[in-house]
Amino acid sequence: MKNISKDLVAASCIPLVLSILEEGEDYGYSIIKKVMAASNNQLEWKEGSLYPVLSKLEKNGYVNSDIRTENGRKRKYYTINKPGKSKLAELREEWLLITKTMDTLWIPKTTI
Amino acid sequence: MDTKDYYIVKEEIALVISELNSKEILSSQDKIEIEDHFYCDVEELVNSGLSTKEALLVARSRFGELDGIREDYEIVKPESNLLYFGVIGILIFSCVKGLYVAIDILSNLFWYTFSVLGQSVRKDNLWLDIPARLFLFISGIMLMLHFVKRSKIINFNRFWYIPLIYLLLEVLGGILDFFILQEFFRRSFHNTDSHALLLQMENLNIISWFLGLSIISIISSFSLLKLKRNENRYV
Repeated sequence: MKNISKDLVAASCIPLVLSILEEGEDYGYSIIKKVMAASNNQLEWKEGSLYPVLSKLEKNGYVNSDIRTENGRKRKYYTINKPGKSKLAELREEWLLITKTMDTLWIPKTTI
Repeated sequence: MDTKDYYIVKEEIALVISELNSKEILSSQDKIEIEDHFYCDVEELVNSGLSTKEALLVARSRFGELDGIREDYEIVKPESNLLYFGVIGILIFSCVKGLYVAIDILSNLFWYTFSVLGQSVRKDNLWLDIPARLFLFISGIMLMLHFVKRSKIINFNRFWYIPLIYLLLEVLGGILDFFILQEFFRRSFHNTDSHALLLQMENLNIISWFLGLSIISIISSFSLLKLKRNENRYV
């Protein structure tokens, strides 16, 4: 597992969560597992820090939530909504620009 | 998971939640999802071969430090703090009173210009002042409400500068009143001792009002600005 800086993990948290929710409704624990799987278990996340992020996304009106009971246990499901999709598109653009810049700078220099 | 293990897990979850919720920041929905998280994690770890106690230890360590998570919740939910409502109250008061003071300043300047131009301020002219003030006040309030209604999320932190603007307007109004008051006392009291005493009392009154107002406005603005800055954090 790669120990990525806390700031970078925090900065990527919202686009990661919104990207997962774009695929379909989901709940906290499953979102964490999907992020781990997408990074081949390379991303080390303090799992508890996801919940304030989800709370913030809900408060800012990017996701909707509802509580359902499954096998006698209550579970909170999140769904991305229209403002959330626009936010994700905006964040995707920003991240693509950053990765493109990094790629340009870090591409192995070919010797002539 | 047998009944005994189930109670061990339940107890640990209750402990985590009570520690996280020491400042009463968690809603019932937050508690549900934290509970669900722990049950899912422990179940998965137990299925992979760990004992319940071992699974709990791993789940607890994966969850992260509770102090940090609590701080993140506090940033996301400033309304869980009672002081926040106090600051919002001051913000609303600043908006309404600020508007009133602004109209007062405009009105004073208008009458001042009126008298400078050599027009005498007659009693019937003064009656024009009340409907004009009411009109400005109501239209100002309506504009404010329209602005609040248009923004989809009412985010009070964005208005951190309002108490400062109100303070500035009060200072401006106060300066204007101060000079008018000097003139008023000079004309009204021929007895210079009574004049000086009343003026001194009035000045003390104004100074204490501004001192209190400055403290409250600056603290409110600072609190709102701090919350706004925290909002820009990714959590």
